[in-house]
Amino acid sequence: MPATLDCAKLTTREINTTIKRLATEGEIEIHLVNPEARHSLGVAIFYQVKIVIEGTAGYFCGGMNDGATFHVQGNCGWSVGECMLSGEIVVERNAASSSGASIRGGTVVVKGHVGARTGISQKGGLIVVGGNTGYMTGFMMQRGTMIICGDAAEGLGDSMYAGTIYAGGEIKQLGNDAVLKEMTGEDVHFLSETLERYGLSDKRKIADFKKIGSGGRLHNFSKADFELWRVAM
Amino acid sequence: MEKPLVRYGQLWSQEVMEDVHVKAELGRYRIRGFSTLRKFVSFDDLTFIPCTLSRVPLEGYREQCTTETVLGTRFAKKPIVLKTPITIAGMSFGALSRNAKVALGRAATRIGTTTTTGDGGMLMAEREASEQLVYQVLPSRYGFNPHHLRMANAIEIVIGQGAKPGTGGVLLGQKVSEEIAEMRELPPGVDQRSPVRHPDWTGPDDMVAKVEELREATDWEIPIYVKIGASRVADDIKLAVKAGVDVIVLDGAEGGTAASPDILMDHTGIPTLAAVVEAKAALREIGMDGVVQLVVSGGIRGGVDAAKALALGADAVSIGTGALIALNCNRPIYIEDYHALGTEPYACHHCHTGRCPVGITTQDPELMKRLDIDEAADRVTNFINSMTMEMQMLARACGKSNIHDLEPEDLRALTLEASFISGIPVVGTNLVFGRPDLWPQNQHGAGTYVAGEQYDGADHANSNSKRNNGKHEKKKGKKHSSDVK
Repeated sequence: MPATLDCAKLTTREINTTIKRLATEGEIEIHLVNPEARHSLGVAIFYQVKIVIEGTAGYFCGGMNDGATFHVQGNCGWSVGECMLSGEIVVERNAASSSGASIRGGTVVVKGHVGARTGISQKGGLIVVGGNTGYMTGFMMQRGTMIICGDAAEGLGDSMYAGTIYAGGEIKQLGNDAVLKEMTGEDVHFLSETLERYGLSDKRKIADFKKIGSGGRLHNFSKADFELWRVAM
Repeated sequence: MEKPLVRYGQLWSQEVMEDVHVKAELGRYRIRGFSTLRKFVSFDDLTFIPCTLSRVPLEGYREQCTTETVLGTRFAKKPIVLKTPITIAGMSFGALSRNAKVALGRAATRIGTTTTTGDGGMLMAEREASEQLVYQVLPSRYGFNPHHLRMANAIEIVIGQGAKPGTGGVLLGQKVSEEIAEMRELPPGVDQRSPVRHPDWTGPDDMVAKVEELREATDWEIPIYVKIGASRVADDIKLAVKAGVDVIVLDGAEGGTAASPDILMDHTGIPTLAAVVEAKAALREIGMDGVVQLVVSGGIRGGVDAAKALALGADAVSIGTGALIALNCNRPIYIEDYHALGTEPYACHHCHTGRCPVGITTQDPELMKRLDIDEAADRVTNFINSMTMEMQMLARACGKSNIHDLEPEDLRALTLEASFISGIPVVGTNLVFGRPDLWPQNQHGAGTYVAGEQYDGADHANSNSKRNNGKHEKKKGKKHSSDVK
């Protein structure tokens, strides 16, 4: 029987303190009811505990996570899972801007749509989006992998240093120095396995996916590439 | 035959022409390290007016003058307690060598103050060397680790730097070594251009939520600072206070950097003198003076600058460039290596090249060896200790038994410009120009005598005598030796 915390009766401080206390006491699953889009739910949890949010969370849900598993049954505000090191966050519906911002590890899955700058400064880990993404998704991506089943708005992968983005729908416009790369059998296998794991196989045919990476032309300044660099420096 | 005319223009000077020639080769703006090369209105334009007959000084070489400083008293359970109001500013491992970071940490520990991480995360050797370490949360989040956050003694959210407010940092490829690249999760050798906007929040309303998140992550135990490059100072101060921070670090235009477009260093931002005055007035206006502490940085060169900053309202100062110079920056050793960079000692601002002749701003193992950690830590310790003694000396001369009791009334302006900006009366006149509203004692408008010394028709000596015989108007929170003895 999982532990249940009624957010309507608790402050954010009390909720987070209680999560940490229960996790240290060996609780393996904690449910948060009446979250009412509260910010900073379950931040900096360093325990292998499952946290189920029965509703919608606000900003920074599961931020700085290292090891916990989150299941958000509603929507999420800005920056779900920001700076996560490890663990998993699955959002059943939509998430706002900067989802998975600067994660260094772990997995963020949003089954619906996400806002702008999803995976901005991503440094590792995996971000999976079942729906569409907003503009500048993958901006300044450094490492890691992102899968977008729906359409991507302008500026996809702008100024990527490295990392890989798979986009299944329409790409409105690739960002500065983001380039299409050849899909391999390994890529197909990875996509197929990952989408199946999160119940997203019906969102997009694997054959529709395009692979995007860094062109490397923004790694070091070149005056010969002025048109590229005029917006990048 | 007419004598040939050789004249150098002031508009198209040699320096301007050289700048054009360099850009004609580079195809981009120039990047360099150090700080602005311009001279702004500065603390040099103020002077202290110590005690004489009208006030009683403390014995300069003997009497106690307290320097303890507490930062983060607003919300944090564990405020930072310093033995001196001088801290070491955030500088990254990457911009600085490992030896330099560790030396700064050891020096800070010996002194009883804090040092600060930088872009690129926490270097474990720096954590071990530093009894009190401030952990920066920067827009890039390079190397950001929530475990390191929880190992910190305070958090500093970086909004910007005085050297380049509104623009992120630069680390050119020659300094992005394998080790630095791995810490920042970047390809080795890239020209790293740090973002200026945080990835996970935007604007002051979001910042309220971000501050709460950081508090939650650290159980509301440690102070949260915000570092702001001086720009729209009054508005920024008020918004930072609203966001719920404990401490504001305000970095003036003279602030240093390891690499920045030089136009930003020389043509953006508010000089430190003006910034501290504006910040103090903003805190007072919203009733948060003394609740949120103000740390001022940017071109603080010694105890005199620091004392003047405190007199104008800072609770502490932070030094970066000064600490590096104490390490050995620009010292005339290894002169041939300065020449190889096209520069010379005392004129070197080539931090961006990674070829620092004295082993401070480099990742080259051979150059780094030139900085002996213990000797370097000794020099920084000695320098900051000397700064503290200079501050105490000035405070005692002004009759203060606590360094934090220095106040605007202890100062006079040497120039009209400084008076206009600071609201400090001009020497010899006791007249306030421009901003009489800045200080409580100046309640009589521009061009009038300051409060307590308002011209009453009597001669000046008589005015002083009357004040001396009567009750000197005490400033809230400030104590004069004659008040406490």
